[in-house]
Amino acid sequence: MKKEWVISQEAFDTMLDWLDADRERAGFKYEAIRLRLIKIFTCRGCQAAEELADETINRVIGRIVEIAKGYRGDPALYFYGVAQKVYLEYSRKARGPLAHVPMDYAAVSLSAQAVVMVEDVEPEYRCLEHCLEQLLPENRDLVVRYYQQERQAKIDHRKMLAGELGIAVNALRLRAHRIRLTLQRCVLECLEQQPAS
Amino acid sequence: MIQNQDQNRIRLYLLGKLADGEKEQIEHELLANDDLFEEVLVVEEELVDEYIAGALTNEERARFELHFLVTPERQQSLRFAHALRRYVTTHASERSDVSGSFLPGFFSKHSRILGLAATVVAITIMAGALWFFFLRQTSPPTFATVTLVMSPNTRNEGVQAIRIKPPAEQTLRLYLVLPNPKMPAAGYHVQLLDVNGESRSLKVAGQRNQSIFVEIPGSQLKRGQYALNLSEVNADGTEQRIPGSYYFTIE
Repeated sequence: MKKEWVISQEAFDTMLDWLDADRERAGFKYEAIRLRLIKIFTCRGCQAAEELADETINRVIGRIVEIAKGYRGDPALYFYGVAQKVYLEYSRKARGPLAHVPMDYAAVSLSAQAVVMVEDVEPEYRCLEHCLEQLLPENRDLVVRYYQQERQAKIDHRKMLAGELGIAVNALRLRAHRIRLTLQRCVLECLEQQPAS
Repeated sequence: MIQNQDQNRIRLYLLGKLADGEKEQIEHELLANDDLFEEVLVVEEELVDEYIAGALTNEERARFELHFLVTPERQQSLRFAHALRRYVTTHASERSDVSGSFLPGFFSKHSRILGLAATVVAITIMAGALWFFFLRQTSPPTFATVTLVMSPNTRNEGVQAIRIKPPAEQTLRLYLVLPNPKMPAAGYHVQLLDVNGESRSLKVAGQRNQSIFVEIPGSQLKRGQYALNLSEVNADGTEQRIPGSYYFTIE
């Protein structure tokens, strides 16, 4: 399915202009669309999500002159329409929707597809310790406090923590998520720098 | 602003439980709405944490393993979440010890009685610190978790057993989906059998929704095929074997 696309700078610039007249905002929108396309393909069970997102974008750029002239509406949704087609072709090639979960749960396990995750996370743990040291102390403290406890105790604990910080529980949830995201990126970079065993 | 119902919808979407129309609807929104996109990332993390904590239902667990964990990125997120959980488990107790260490200084400025109390507190803290030191030598156990469904076969021939690679330092937690969860027994007895015909009893470590779970230290499992036999334990202590077995292979 994958074509060797040759994208000219001119076509790419036309696509950016179509996204937004302001070049900086257009660049931001382009990145946002690409990230979301990757997420959509991932959520549909595609292993090569990034590749499919780029394929989608390349197809749009390939026809950008006519699209820019004729299409009215949010450009992101046009990308989505193309992504649907890319997904269909991909799943047809992969013989049916990927990671299909049978409705009869009891039938699942003996189909022997269950992903068995074994967690030897020592390298991640070492990197995490290193990355936590780089956080501001208050953020490090928040992460430790936010992710402790289980079930009901966790809910109560988070309410208390939000009250202490004077913010809503959902705002706390987002704050913890953003710190976690920073940490996760740092851990990934750290792992990449480690020698392969 | 994201509502609870959106969070539920996203959760269903991530577990592959939405119908095509609803799925497309949420994907449309995901492209156009920054808040919703961030919410998807948050719910993803929460699902991963619940999976590790064993807080998902059997069906959610199966969907998570078959639908969610399909990409290397998400498997990496799972590994990160395991590491984070281990760190938090270790350092949450450290925090509470540290907050206690300010007490002696405060008390020493007051009466001799309080000074004596401060000494007692200091000794307690030192004992706590020593306890904590030794506790840290053995980091909290981490689990490799697997869900098994009973095969009606009484022999393992023709059964496609789940293959597991548990590292020696980890404990394998096996969730056994009960064949008849609507009529739970007073208790359960689990027997582990290996290919040499050797068997041993396993303690049921817990029960959740429609399954029970047993835990086996990775160091106690050699390569090979295993079967788990399940018996119902009646109120009078008698046992009744449930036909069928749970099969798995250690690689």
